[in-house]
Amino acid sequence: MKFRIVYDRPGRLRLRAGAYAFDREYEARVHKACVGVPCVKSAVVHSANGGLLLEYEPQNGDYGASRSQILEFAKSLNPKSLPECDGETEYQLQSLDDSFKASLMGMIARRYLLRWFVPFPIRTAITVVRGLRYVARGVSTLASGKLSVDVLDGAAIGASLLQRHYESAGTVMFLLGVSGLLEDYTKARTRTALTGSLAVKVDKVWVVKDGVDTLIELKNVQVGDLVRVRSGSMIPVDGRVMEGEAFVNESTMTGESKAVMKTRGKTVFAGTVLEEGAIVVKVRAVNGNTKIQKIIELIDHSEDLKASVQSRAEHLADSIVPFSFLGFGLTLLFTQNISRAVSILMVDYSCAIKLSTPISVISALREAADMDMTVKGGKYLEEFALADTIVFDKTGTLTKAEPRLEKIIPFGGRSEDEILKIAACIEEHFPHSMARAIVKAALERGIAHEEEHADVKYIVAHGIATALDEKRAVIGSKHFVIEDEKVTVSEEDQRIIDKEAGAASVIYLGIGGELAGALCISDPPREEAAVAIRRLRESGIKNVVMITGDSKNAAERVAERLGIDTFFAQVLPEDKHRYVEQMKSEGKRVIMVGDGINDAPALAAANVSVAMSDASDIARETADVTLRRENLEDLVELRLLSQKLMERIMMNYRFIVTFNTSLLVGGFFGLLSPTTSAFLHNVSTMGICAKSMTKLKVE
Amino acid sequence: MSMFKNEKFWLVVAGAVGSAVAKKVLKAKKTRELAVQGLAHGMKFTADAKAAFQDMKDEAADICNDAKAEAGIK
Repeated sequence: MKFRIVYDRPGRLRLRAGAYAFDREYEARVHKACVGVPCVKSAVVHSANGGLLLEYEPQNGDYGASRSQILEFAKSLNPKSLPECDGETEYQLQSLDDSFKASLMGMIARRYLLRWFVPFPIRTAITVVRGLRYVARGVSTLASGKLSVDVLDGAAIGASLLQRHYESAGTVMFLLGVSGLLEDYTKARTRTALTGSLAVKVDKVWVVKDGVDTLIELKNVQVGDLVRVRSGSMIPVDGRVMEGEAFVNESTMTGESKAVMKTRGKTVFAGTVLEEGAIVVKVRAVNGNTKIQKIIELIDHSEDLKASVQSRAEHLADSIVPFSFLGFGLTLLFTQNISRAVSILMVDYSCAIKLSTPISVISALREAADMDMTVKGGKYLEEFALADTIVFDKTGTLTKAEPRLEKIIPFGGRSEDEILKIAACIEEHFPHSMARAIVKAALERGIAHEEEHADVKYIVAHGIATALDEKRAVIGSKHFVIEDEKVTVSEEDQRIIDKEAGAASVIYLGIGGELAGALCISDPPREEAAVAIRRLRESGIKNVVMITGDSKNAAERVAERLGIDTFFAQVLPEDKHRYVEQMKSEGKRVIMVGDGINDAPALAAANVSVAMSDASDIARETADVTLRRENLEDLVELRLLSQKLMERIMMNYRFIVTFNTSLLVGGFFGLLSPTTSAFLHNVSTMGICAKSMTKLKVE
Repeated sequence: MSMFKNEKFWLVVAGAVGSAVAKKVLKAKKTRELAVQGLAHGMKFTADAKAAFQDMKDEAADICNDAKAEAGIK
C-alpha cells in the first residue's frame, strides 16, 4: 500500500493512503492486521482518508526498530488480500461511536439546513409526513391495548399538526429522535461489549495422525481426532486426555485459581489453559458443542430476557400518559373548547423525562467508571438500587482465592518453625498454590531453608516424597501420608488436628514413618468483606447469601465471620443459577457477585450481576457490572450511586411534572401566552438536562 | 372555434406537449449521461469532503497529543 507519513513521534505514527485506498468494508480487516503487528499497542483505521494511526511500543527500548517494522508492514499491506473478519471488539466499539456521532451530527445538520434552505411549504410537507408516522405508531400501540408514551407522542404531534403548529411538532419530533438515538446507541454498545470475547480464540491446532503432528484449522477438527496441547496454550476442545500429564488452570470454568493435574483418562474443557506439561486430547466436542459454548448459549438466552425489561424512563413517562388523557377529557367536558383541551396534550412531559433520564444515567455511568467500575447499562444501576438480596460466590469473591498458611501443628517435640522449614524446603520444588502458601509463610517468618534432603519425588495429585537425614520424609494429603505411606498417627493427634484445623485444608508431614506435623491452609476472606457486608445492609439490603462448592464446615466459618445470614454449601457449579432463580421466584430482587465461569449462568440469571476485578473473562463479559479494583466496598459505593441516581430521576420527574403542570394551568387561565409557555418549557427541559449532567458526588 | 379562445384548452395542450417533451428529454441519452456525471461528481465531492474532514480531525488529534505530551499528561 502506498502511503504518506503525516505524523511521526516515538510511540505514535500516523500514515495516510488517501480517500480511495480501501473501502469501509475493509476497515475491520486492516485494523485486525495492524493490531497483529507485535509491537503495535492500538490502531485506529479510517477508510474515509485511508488513515492508519498506530500506537506502538519500543523493542528493547528502541522505538526505531518498531517504527521500521510498522513501515515495512504498511508497505506490504494489501487490504484486498486480507481474510474477511468481523473485527475486534475494540474496532466494533470504535465504529459504533463513530456512527453515533455521525448520526447525531446528521440529525442536527438536517434540522437546521431544512430550516434555512428549504421553502416553508416543502418543509411543512416533510414535517407532516414525519408526524404522520408518529401518529400511525400511536394508533397501532393503542390498537394493541396499551396506553404508552407512543400514544401521547402520536396524539401531541397529531394535535400540533391539526392546529398547524408545524414548528412545535418539528421540535418535539427532533427531541424524540435524539433521545431514541441515545437509547439505541447505549443498547448497541452494551451488546457489543458483552459478546466481545466469549469465543475460544484459537485458529489452528496440532492434530496427531499416525504419529505425525500436523497443524490444521480448528474448524476442520473432527470428534475423535487427537489434538496435542502444550504449555501456555488454551485447550481448544472438550475431550479426554490420552497421553501425557499437565497442570491445567480451569479458573475460566470453575473459578478456582489452583491448577489441576490432568492425567490419562481425565476430561479437559475448551477455554481452560494448560499451564505446565503437554497432553494429547481425544476430541469429544468441538465448536458449537463444547461446554463453554453451552454456557454462552445460556447467557445469550438470559440476555434476551433482560433486554425485554422496560427502561425506567419509559416506565415513568408511560405512567403519566393516562393523566394527560384524563386532563384532556375533563377540560373538554368543562370548557367545551376543543383547542383548550388539545393544549393539555401539548404539555409535553415525556420529552423532558425521556431526555433527562438517559442523560442522568449516562452521567452516573461515567461517574461509576471514574470510580473504576464498569456498568453496562442504566437498567443495571436501577436494579442495583432496588435490590433487596445480594448473593456472593465464596472463592475468589469473598476470598482472594490465595491459600494462606493459617496454623502449624507440630508433633514429636518439634517446633513450629522446624516443621515449616522442612515443609518449605520440600515444597518449593513444586510450585502449586498450596506449596506456594507454605513457601511464602516461611519467607514471611524469615526462615531460611537449606537443601538438606536428597532426591525429591513428586507423586501426582498426592504429595512429595524425599529422604531427610536418611529417613523417608513425605508431605501431602492425609490419604497419601497416612494410608499410602503408612505414617502412624495416634487417635489423640488426629483429634487435635481435627479440632485445630476447623475449616482449613490440612497438609500432613511424616518423617521416618511418624507424623511430624500438620499444616493448616485456608483461603481467608478479603479484609474488607465484613465491613462491606455491614454497609450493604445499612443501605437497605435485607438478605446476604453465600453460595459455594466448599464443605458446609468451611462455609459456616466464613458466613459466621462475615455476618452472612444464609449460605448454601457443596453446591454444584451448574446448580448455582437455580438458587438465584428460586430467590427471584420468591419475589426477591437479586444482585449476584461472582468471578468464575461456573458463576456465569447465575450471573446472567440475577436481576443484576457483578464480576470481581480478577474474574474470568466470561464472568466479566456476562456480568452487568465489573469492578476494576479488588475491593468489595466498591459494591457499597455503587449501591449509593445507584440510589442517588434513582433519587435524581425521581426529583427530575417531580420537577418536570410540577413545572409543566403550572405552565399548563397558566396557559389554561390565560396567564401565559402560548409563546411564553413554549419558551419556558424548552428552557426548563434544557435546564433539567444540564443539571442531570452534574456529578452525583458519592462520598 | 371558441374552444381555441379558451385559456384552459391551451393550458391542457401546453401540459400535454410539455410532458411529451419532458419524457423525451428524460429518456435522451445525453440527459442520462449528464445525470450520471452529475451524480458521480456529487459522490466524489462527498468522498473528498469526508476525507478532508477526517484529515482535519486527525491533525487536530495529533496537535492535541503533542500538547498533552508537552504538558506531561501523556
